[in-house]
This record gives sequence, structure tokens and C-alpha cells, in this order.
Amino acid sequence: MQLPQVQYDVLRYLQTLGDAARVPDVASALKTDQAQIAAACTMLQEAGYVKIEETRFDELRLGPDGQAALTQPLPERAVIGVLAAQGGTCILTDVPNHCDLNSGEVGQSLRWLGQRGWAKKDRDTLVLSDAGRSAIDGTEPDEALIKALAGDRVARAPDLEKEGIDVSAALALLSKRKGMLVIKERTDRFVTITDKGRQLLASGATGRDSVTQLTPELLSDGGWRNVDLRTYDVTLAAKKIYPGKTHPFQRIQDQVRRVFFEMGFEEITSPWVESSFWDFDALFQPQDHPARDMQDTFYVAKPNHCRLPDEKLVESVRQTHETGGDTGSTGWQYRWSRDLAHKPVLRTHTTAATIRALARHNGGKPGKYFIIGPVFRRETVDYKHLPVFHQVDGIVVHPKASLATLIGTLTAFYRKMGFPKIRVVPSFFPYTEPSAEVHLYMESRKNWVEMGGSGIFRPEVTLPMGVTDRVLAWGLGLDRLAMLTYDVASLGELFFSSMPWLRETPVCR
Amino acid sequence: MPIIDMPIPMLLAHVNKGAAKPLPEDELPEKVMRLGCEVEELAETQQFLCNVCGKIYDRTEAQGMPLHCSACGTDFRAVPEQLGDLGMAKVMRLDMLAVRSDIFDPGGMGRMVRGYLGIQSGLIEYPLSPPKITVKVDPHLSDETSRRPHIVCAVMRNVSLTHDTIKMLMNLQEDLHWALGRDRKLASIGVYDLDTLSGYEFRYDAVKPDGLRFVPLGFPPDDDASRLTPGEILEKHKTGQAYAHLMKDMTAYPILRDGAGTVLSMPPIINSESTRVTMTSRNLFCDVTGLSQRTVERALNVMVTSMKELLPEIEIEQVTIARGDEREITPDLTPTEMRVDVANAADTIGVKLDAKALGELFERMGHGVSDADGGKTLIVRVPAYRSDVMHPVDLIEDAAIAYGYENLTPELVPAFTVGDPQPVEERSADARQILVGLGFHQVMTLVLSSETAAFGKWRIEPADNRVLIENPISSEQTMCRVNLLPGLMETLAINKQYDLPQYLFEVGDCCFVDETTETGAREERLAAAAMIGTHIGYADIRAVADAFTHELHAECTVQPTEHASFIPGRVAALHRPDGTRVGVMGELHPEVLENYGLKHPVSVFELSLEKLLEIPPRM
Repeated sequence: MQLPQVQYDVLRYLQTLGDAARVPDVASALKTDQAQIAAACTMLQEAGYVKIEETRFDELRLGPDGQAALTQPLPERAVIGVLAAQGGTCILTDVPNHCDLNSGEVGQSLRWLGQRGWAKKDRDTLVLSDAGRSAIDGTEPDEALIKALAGDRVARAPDLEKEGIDVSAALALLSKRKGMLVIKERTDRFVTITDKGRQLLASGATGRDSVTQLTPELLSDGGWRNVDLRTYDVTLAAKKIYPGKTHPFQRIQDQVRRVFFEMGFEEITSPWVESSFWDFDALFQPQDHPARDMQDTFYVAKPNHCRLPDEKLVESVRQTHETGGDTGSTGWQYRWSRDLAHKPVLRTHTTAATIRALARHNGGKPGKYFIIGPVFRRETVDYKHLPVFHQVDGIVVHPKASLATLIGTLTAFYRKMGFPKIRVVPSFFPYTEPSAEVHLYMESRKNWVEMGGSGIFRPEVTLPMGVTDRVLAWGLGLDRLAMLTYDVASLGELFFSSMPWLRETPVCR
Repeated sequence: MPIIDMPIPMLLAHVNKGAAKPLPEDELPEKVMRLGCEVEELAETQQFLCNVCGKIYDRTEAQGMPLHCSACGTDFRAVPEQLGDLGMAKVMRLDMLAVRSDIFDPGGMGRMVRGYLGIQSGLIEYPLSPPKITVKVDPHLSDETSRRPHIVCAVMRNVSLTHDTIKMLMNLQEDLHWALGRDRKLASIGVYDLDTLSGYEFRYDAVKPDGLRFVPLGFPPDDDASRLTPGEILEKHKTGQAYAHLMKDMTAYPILRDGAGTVLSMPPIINSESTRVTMTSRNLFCDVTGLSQRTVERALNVMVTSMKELLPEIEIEQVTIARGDEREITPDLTPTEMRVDVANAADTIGVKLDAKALGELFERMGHGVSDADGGKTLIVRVPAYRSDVMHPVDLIEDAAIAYGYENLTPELVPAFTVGDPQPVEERSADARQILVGLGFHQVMTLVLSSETAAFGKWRIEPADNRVLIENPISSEQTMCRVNLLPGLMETLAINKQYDLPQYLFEVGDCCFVDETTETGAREERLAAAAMIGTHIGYADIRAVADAFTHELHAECTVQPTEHASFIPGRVAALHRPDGTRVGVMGELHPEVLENYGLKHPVSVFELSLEKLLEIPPRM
């Protein structure tokens, strides 16, 4: 018969001891962890090799008032001292004049003087009793207990009894005084070897090693068969580790791209440094429009000149601005400046890319294009604004493009983005007509959130590009979507990320 | 976009005038939203009155009391007794876009809602009385040095004003200054008590800065010291100071005077105190001056029609504008005619509509409609207050709004198309996947940078091919970024207090001047990684770079190089087999670490993904 090594050791120890032993004593004798010994004892008991008896006992230590009583006598003892010195009686109000007690403490001591029978109150006078007189040089059980608990000792009541302290008498006195003692009920487990245990040892049972780590050696020489693999507390927390991760904002961009590809869109790009022509003029933005002010747009000093596209296109845009050209529009009725169109800016919207795509678009066939990218506005930095932010723009070129198909496309797009509930309301945007604004219902906020603009490009925008079909267009700001999605209060967290945020933000939402 | 406080009781009263079934107050915000206005909130505001000029302010609790009067410039901190309290008002706060200046006030907004609800549809004709007053325009106002050539005017008779209507008048004036006038530059509006004026021959002249004196709005009328020259007003009056920039380089200023020579105003700066509109004013004179004829006409049209909407009893009287022998009568409220193709309108909205149904939609938006050719084309008469209609498509939007976006059936275009990614994005996704697998965290840092961040802290000279911003807003963003490492280092710097090691990477665009391109610059996709930790060294980043290039299936050779940002002898250049240098890696120089306040060694690599993988150009 083989026993796990710890159980074998416990059994041997108990046999040698020939008496009941407390679990902690066994643990210290065997120099083994108490929890392991306790587990071994339980298993031995279940097999009938030991028996375990539980005894309840009080564990005592001093409370704050008890600590104080170490250095100064109990008030009733101080009072009988005063009474003895004053010839056996003293006017109650006079007692504070003869000791360190104040009148309140003297008042409180009356209860204990009475209980111990040390003094009696006779109207306004205290009179020392015989018991009191004989107690003056003695030590009461409670006082002895306090002394025994000096030095922050935590003591078992049975041990104190062994030291000759009348614990029950002491407790009778002290347990009524708040703050003197802290008493906890504990259980001692006494383990004794049974006859069955002795027989087991007599029959030649041996111990078997238990190991923590399953080693290559144990595996290669088959030694694992002769050892126990120690059990673990599998509920304990492990050390935190973090996988490498893509950035949360990247994951939103990835999702947007996936949605567009699933809907059959072609990805497009356009340069950060963009001519005013593509950024503004091609979108029928008049040259005196406030958005073109130095106040709102970053102009580029180097390079300081952009080339314009082919002359036919430029001419068509000029005419549209000035008189409406062939588009059926009144135009803006001003003189269009080619010089202003050459001026480079940092693109103010990704619509610059979609208008370039329209100019490239091969007329007559349907087209779907999208872009995700940074755009630049001359914004003063705060928690919601940075000079760089990120936009998504999508367009659909199709003869059947209409407000109804725009709403259908937006519904499909935002459903795939995880927003099944959207609301499309009219709005007024400069280069779309009709225009619509999208509101998303955010379940997490129980509210509608305004998310982006959309519409059908104005003929003044599409016709000069040679596109005769209507063009659906919509865009949204990704930074805002990211702030809402990840519930970050400041854009700073996205672009100047803290390690805890990068590490803790889960990959999946 | 300004926030416009729309007084709810006034608006609702106007909307429901003569309505068979009045619109309940709680349905108002929804209707307004369906008409394309963004309702920010419903709020209670406290109303303050400027006792000096009569301007009324709606202020939310957060805004608090006004500090000085935006109309006359009175500083309420200095003279608090001039700020009266008119109690609380219920307003709908609307976030308005500039294009629809005809709905900024309860008159115009009410008119639109009434049409939309069918309470009153079709084109509204506003009767006009023939002119009695003539304004003679000085030709010098077309000169470069005294330029404000355009003026249109109107008279409004039989007006009875309340605090509410005065407030509405002043607010509309300010909103139009913003929306149409570009803060008074293109157009500015003046309204005066006509009964303080005399004669029928008014003059609009260019006057020298010291050519006359008058008491500007807000100054004590009886004090001789209040009589200022135009030049002094620009220096001494709060509003004069605020708008002096509009008179820059001018040697004579526009002045409007009545038949007796009394000054009405110095456009676009300030009115005179003596012609001020008060609660007791019964007849008003109104002018709009500016740099664009179209704009001044539009502003005046909105002004008079909105007033007429709110105060139906008033009589609008025209004014003759005389330029030499030329005569122009204003306001001119003749509608503009525009032809709308019915089939195109129906297809654009995406519904079936015949001419009759479409015509009804137009009428609900306040237009006049007649059939041109038996149902194919409609002739739409667009009211003069609508300054936004440039093309039939603008009218089609009106019809769509009247139809109701919420009543459309969402559909998809019937088109089979094939999704197509940009190669540079696909390869960047590969790069990210590899670095994530190597235990790195991605960061995305700002794409604008500065010479200090990109070069100074890195012990190198600024590169000539950097893109420079002409009008930077801060010294930290003066150029497009040319490298990714500064962003990584800044991220490490703000994360000093957290557990090491830290491994970060970024894959992103940088931008360089390139004269061969159309715009003179181009983006390039870079990848960079940084490792910080007690025992991080060259070997660590070398291992990462090797794994990275290997997984990208790119061949790369490593050669010793010199680079001031790195420890000498612990830096290498990465080359493609054809010799093209694609990047650099190594252990950063201690001085660079110091510049970022870092106390542990950092090893990095940075390379051009586009060069390494020879990615096809972007489209």
C-alpha cells in the first residue's frame, strides 16, 4: 500500500506522538504548509486512518481600551486608592482632585465599584468597603488577563487557563466593558491516529513523493507513475498578460472597409496636399466661401503651387461657378480665379477624393467608391477637436440613384456597422441636393446621435466631371464614432494612447 | 453655424394663425426636424434688455448675463443699471446653416411650417406701396478707397412694436449679418425710426473721416462730447473698434443721411443715436448696404417679408434708389421662375409623382406653380425671400422635404459591382498582423508634426522635402510628418510610469514634397516599431526586423551605417537586394532618450513599406 508522502508523514508522526495533535502543530513538526497538512488529514480521516475532533475555543487579544489599561490602572482601582488615602471616604466630586481621573471617568467607575463590591455611594459620598480595602494590593482576574495579553499577544483561552488565569471570571468582568477585548471564536482540530491507521503502518505502507512540476525526467524514466502531481487551487487569479493588438481606432477603420467591400465598393485615395481646385472649386464651393478662409483651412507654403487637371475640365468648372455653364444653374455670378485654384491646401475633407474618382469614372457604368483618411482643419485643440481628424466618404454612381436609394444604401451601410436603427432627416449641405443627415440610435446611450451628412451631388458638381448619372454621396467622422464606440471622453486617448488603455481595451466589442 | 433661439410661443402663435387644427407645442420640434432644422434643445432662457439701445438677449443659465451690448457696445459691467431683466422665455435652440436665412426668425420659420402643414400653401404675395422716398447714391462709393456701392431700402409703416418684436427684429438683423453678410462685410442692415427723419431725398455718400459729426448709437445724445467724426467712431466706439477692419485702406466712409442732413448711419459700422427704433416707433426705414447687389437684395427681402409675417398690419413701402439717371425700386419681391422636369423630379426623389402631386408639394413649400406643357414640366415661381435656389434640383429637394423623407421606401441601386481594395492598405494590414503577432501594440499618432519633434529631438537637420504649412495654428504642428518614430517616442514618453517592457508600432503615411506629382507632394506608407525595457538592445530589434521582413516575404540586407539618432556601431540600414535603402534600425542615442525623458534603452526600426514591397501606386 502506498500513501501520498504527506499523508504517510502525518500518520507516522501521529503514531510516534501517541496522542492527539493540533493541525498547526503537525504542520510545524513536519515543516510543511498548514493547508497541505489539513488536506492530508481530511483525506486520512475519510479513509478512516485518523480521527479528527473539533474543539471550539476563544481567541483573545486586547482592544484599544485594553491596551490603555496596560499602562494605567482601571478607574475603580484608582478610586479605591483615593478612598484608602482619604481615610475610607471621599466626597464624589472631590475624587478627581486626588487622581488622574476626570469627573466623567469617576462616574463611570461607580458601576464597577459596585459590581466588585469595593465601595458604596452614600448620597454624595463614596465609602470604601472591606472587600475594597482588601483588594487594594491584590490583582483581579481581569487585570491578570490584561497583563497576560500585553505585547499584542493573540492567545487561546485554554492556553491562558494553563498559565493559571481564571479566564471565565475575567471574561465575566471584561466582556461588559467595550473596547477592552477582541474575542474571536475559533476551532481547534485535534487529530489522533486510529487503530486502522496503526494497522496500515504495521502492514508496511510507504509514502509516495508528490511533485509540483512534471519534468522531462519524470516523463522519460516513467517516474511520474510513482509520484503524485500536487493539486492546485485552480480558482486563484493568474498573472495579467496582454496580447499584441491593433489599435481600437484601426479596428473601426477595418470594420468600415469590410462593410464597403461587402457592398461592392472600390477603395480610392487622394493626396493630403491637395489643390484648392479639387478641394473646393470642383465641389462648386465659391471662391469667397468662408470655409476657404485662412482662418479655417491649412494652406501649404511648400509646395506652393499645384497643377490643374486638363483644360476642358477646368474650363467647365469655371463656367459653372460663373454662370452655371451647361448645368442649368444660375452659378455664383462672380469672376472665378484660376490663381486661387492652384493654391495647395491640406485637404479639408475626403470628398476631394470622391470628386477625383468621379472625374476618372468611366461614364455609362455604375460605380461605387469609398475612402477612409485623415483630413485637416485649422481647429484649436481641445478634447473634441484636433487639427487632424478622419473621414469616411462613399459615393454611388448609378442612373437609378435617388433619395430613396440613398436612404436604402445608408440603412444597409449603418446596419452593417452595427446600427440597426437609423433616422434620415433633411439638412442643407453645400454640394448635395437633396441633402440628408443620418441619426443613429445608440443602444448604449438610449438616444439618437447625429452621425453624418449625405445627399445627391448637385449637378453643378457632377456635370463638369462628365458624369450625367446622379451620384449618391455620404460621409461620416470616424473620430466621433470611435469616441462613442469606445466611450472615450477625449480624442487625446485615441492619438496619444496610454498603455493601460491599449492593453485593456478588448479586441472585441 | 450659429445657434438661433426660436421663441416658441411667438412661433407657435404664428404657425397656428387661422389653422383648422392647431399644431400642439410638443409636436413642433419633430416637424421642424422634418423640415431640415437641427433642434439642439428646448430651453428656458432669461431675457435681458439693453436700456441704451433696446436690444434684447436670450441667455441660458450657462451663458449668464451679457457682458456688453452687441448692438450699441454698452459695457454692462461698467453700467449694470443699463441691463434690464424681462423674465424667462421658452425657446427652441436651433443649429442653423447659413443657406436658409429666410427661416431664422419666427416669421419666416412660421411661414415654412404653415406651408408644410398645409395651413397656408402656395406663393404668398406681399403687397407693396409705391415709393415716396428717394436715396441718391454717391458714385464715389464705387471707388476702391470708399467702396460700398450697393444699397437697397424699404419703408415699413403702421408698425406697433413690443419687446418681443423688437427683439426679433434685432436678432434677425444680426443673424442676416452673419449668414448673408459675412459679419457685415458683404451686407449690413440698418433700421431706423422714420419719424425722426425728414425730407424725401435721402443721400448715401462717401464722406471723409473728419467730414461730419454725429452721435453714434449708445452714446448720450445731449452730450456734446458724444458727437464724433466717422474716424473717431472707429477709434472710440466699441462697435467701431470691432468692425474697423472693414474700413481698412478706405479714405472716405459711407454715410446715409436724410433730406435735412441728419445722419442715419455709417454703414456697416453703426447707426446714429437720434434715429434709434424704440417701442413707440410707428414707421421704420430700413437699408441694406454692401458689396454684392444679390446679397443686399436678399437680405432686404427676408427682412421685410419676415416682418410682414409677424406684423400683418404693416405696410411695406418701396424706396427709389437713384444713381445718376438710373432708377431702381426696392424691395423687389418679384418671384423667380424656374422650370422643373416632372419625371426628373420624381426619379431624383425615387417615387412616382405626376405633375399635380409634384405641384402640390411645391405649393406646400411656398412656391407658385403652373403647368407648362400638359404635365411634363412645371413652371415654379420661387418667392423672393428664398436666396438659396440656384437650380431646379433645389426645388426638387423642397418637394422631397414636403413629401417626407420618412415616407420614402428605402431601396438599393440594382448594380452588381466588385469590391476592390488599395494594395497599399492590404499590405499594411499584413504588416500590422505580423507586428501584432510579435507582441506589439499598434498606436496611431497625429500626422502633423514640427521641426523640433521630427528632427531637433533626433539630433538631425530638417529635411528639405518636408511639406510646410503656411498658416499653422500651433508650433507643434508646422509640417506634415516625415517619419513615424517621433509619434512612437512621444507615446513611450507619456507611458513612462507603466510596466516595462513596452513594444509599440505604427503603420501609416508620411508626406513629402515631390515636384513630379500634380499637387507637388505625395504620401508614402511607412512602418516603425519601438521597444523599451531594462535589457532591450540592438539584438532585440534586429530579431523583430528580421521576422517582420521575412513574414512580408521581402528580401532585405543589413549593412552598418551612421545615423546621429543612434548609438554609433549599433545602427544598421536595411536595403533591398537591388541596393535601394528602405529603412534603418538600431539602438537610440542616449541624448535622444534624454530628449524624451526616458530612463531605459530603446531600440527601433523604421522602414518604407512602399519601397520594401514595391507596392503599386495608389489611385
